[in-house]
Amino acid sequence: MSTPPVGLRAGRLRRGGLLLLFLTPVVVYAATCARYRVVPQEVLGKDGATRAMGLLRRAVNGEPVASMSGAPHGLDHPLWVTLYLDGEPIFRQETRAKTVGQGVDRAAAAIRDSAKLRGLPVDARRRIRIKLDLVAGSSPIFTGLPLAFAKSVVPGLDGLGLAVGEKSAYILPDDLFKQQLLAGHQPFFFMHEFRTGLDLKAVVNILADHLDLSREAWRSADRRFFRFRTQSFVEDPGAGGRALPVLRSRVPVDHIDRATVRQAVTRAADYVLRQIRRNGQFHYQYYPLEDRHSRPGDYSLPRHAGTTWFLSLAYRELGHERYKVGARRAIDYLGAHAVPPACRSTPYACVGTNFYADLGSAGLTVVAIAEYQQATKDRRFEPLARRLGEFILSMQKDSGDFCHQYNPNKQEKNCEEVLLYYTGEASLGLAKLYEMTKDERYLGPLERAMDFLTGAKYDFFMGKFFISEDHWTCIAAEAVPESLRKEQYARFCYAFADLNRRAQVRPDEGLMGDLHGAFSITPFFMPHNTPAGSRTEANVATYLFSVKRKEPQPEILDTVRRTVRYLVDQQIRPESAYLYRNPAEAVGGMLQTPMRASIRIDYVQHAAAAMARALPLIPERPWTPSE
Amino acid sequence: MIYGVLDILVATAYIWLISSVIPNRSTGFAVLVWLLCGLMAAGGLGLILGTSWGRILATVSSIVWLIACGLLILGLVTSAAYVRGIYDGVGQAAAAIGLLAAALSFELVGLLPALQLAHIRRTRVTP
Repeated sequence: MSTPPVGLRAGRLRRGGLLLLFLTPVVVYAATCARYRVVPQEVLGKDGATRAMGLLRRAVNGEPVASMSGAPHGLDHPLWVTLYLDGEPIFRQETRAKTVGQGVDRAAAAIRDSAKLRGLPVDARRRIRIKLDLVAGSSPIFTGLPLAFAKSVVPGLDGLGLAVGEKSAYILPDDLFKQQLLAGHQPFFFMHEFRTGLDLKAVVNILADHLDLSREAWRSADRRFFRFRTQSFVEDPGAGGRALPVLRSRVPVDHIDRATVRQAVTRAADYVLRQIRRNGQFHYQYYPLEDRHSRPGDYSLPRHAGTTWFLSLAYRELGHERYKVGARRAIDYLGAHAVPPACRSTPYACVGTNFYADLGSAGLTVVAIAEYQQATKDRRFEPLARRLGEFILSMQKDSGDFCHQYNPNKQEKNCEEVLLYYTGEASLGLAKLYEMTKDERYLGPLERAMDFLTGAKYDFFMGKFFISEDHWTCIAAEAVPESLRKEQYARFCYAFADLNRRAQVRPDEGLMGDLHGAFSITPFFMPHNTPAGSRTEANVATYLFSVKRKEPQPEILDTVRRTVRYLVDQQIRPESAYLYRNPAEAVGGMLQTPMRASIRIDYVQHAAAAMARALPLIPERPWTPSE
Repeated sequence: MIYGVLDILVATAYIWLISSVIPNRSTGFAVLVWLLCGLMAAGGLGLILGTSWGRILATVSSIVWLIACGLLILGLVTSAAYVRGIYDGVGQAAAAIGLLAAALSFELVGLLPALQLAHIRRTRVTP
């Protein structure tokens, strides 16, 4: 046998090395992905879940319970049955069993035998919401880097587990949400306000407590953290014993029709009405997990005015007298408490204090009054709106832009500080003021403002590549009278709608798929619900604008419908309110993100105003977004 | 040869980027990018064919692309400063993105023409 020449051997070696260089990353990628990926399997079908729920309901009611047959799916992890009463888990049974049927039977027996549950009044037992959680898949997680550990669970879909020897402890996705542990990690020591991922200290402490290990045992133990995906069901509050699927602590909505959207608008408007305090101010923020409001003090007048606008819109669309009364009280508050003494005897009115007033508050107060007057024909607030109009006009610069802040005591404008939304809000105010009064003095300034917003504002190199949060601009563009409608406004708003569509989550986007319709630029952060609402307000206006121009844009209409489905899905509904302490108070609310449980008035306002204005664009028949 | 193929591939990628990934609202800018990409592709073709006019075209293309890269960086830096100046705190994020884009511009836009220019000079045919 002859030996290959040295040159040939070196060539083979080089080729082999190159192949290794190419293959190594591929193999490492595939192996890492296979190790850390969760491939969830359905553990229980819809019928099986309803059967299980029926059994558990009978157990809660203290009735005789038959055995759960026909659920032979094997279990590698426990199953959990949790009973929620007014948002609190008053009973939880973690059951290890060979099959789902066996696990449900054991849980039912434990419920029946619980003295605590037997002692509850019948009414309380009826109010109990039963939740069933099953593990559909699990995988190890990498804990070597704190940030990787913190971001290792999919918020709302994954729970966190810890195995030490034969023992395991679990934190369910609902518990991570309820204890607000999903956004507790501070990756950079110098950025206190930036938190993302699991609150590591808290979750490790909880898991260690569950395992009940001594400090020495904990230190010497071989700890294996893992995440697990759940398949969950909650009992339908309207039909005892019926199981509803749960995703990210809510019952998902697959399709919408006009009736469901109308119901969502009604719920939102009723939520807003419940936030009006005796003096006409709103409770600014509500925390549904704790059933408490934020302390008075932190308040935004532009958001007050925006929310008031929505109440008038709701009255216009739904016709219920209570919304008219609510809107009137909220405008009364603005007139009585928000116009400072320094602006009372002047030809113009401003909104704020003697030391600080701003353009946005004035603009949106005008919008709220105009909508109220158009919806109710009640003209009592028109003089205030006209005086606010004078203020807006006095704040305009030669460029068409506006000064954004004002000191009423000193009668001094502050044109240096620019705030994000104010020029758009003032422009919408002028458009609505013209609509209400037909006073042509507003037309010139309105045109200059719109020309600026859709032109000169972006007159720099990078400005051709992005559009800021310009939803008020496009709402205003639709509201300008026909004589002022320009091609430039339409092109700008079509581009804004196109930008939104690019950022819209599609149903086939993997782990974000259930949030389709929202706007997001990265799967690593939860989409925020407020931009979903505000951009949809703009998209509805842009679509209506395109119709007025006789060039309807079907893509914009589709974007609107997709987001409206998302908003209906995200709204707190009776069936999704099992984690909230006072469901009746929380229903109609809109969280900051799908997983951050605070509700500020503007979160509801933007989402609900978008749905109210989109109502005529939603089909009467069920509509489901295509892929 | 290799630079010629790279030119054609990169020009195609730029056209895809500008029309699908980062569209803009300036027709003038879009037309300019198309023209520049055309020039790059033509230069690339010239290098593949190995003719003297091809080398001249590729040289011109490289110089024009280097100038364009400089202007791009200038545009991004001034935009970042403008947004930061106008919007103060709110503009910080946009300014940061602008500066990041400027920092990556040479690698994404200027590196290939710079290397190509060096290659053309190195392989110059001496009479």
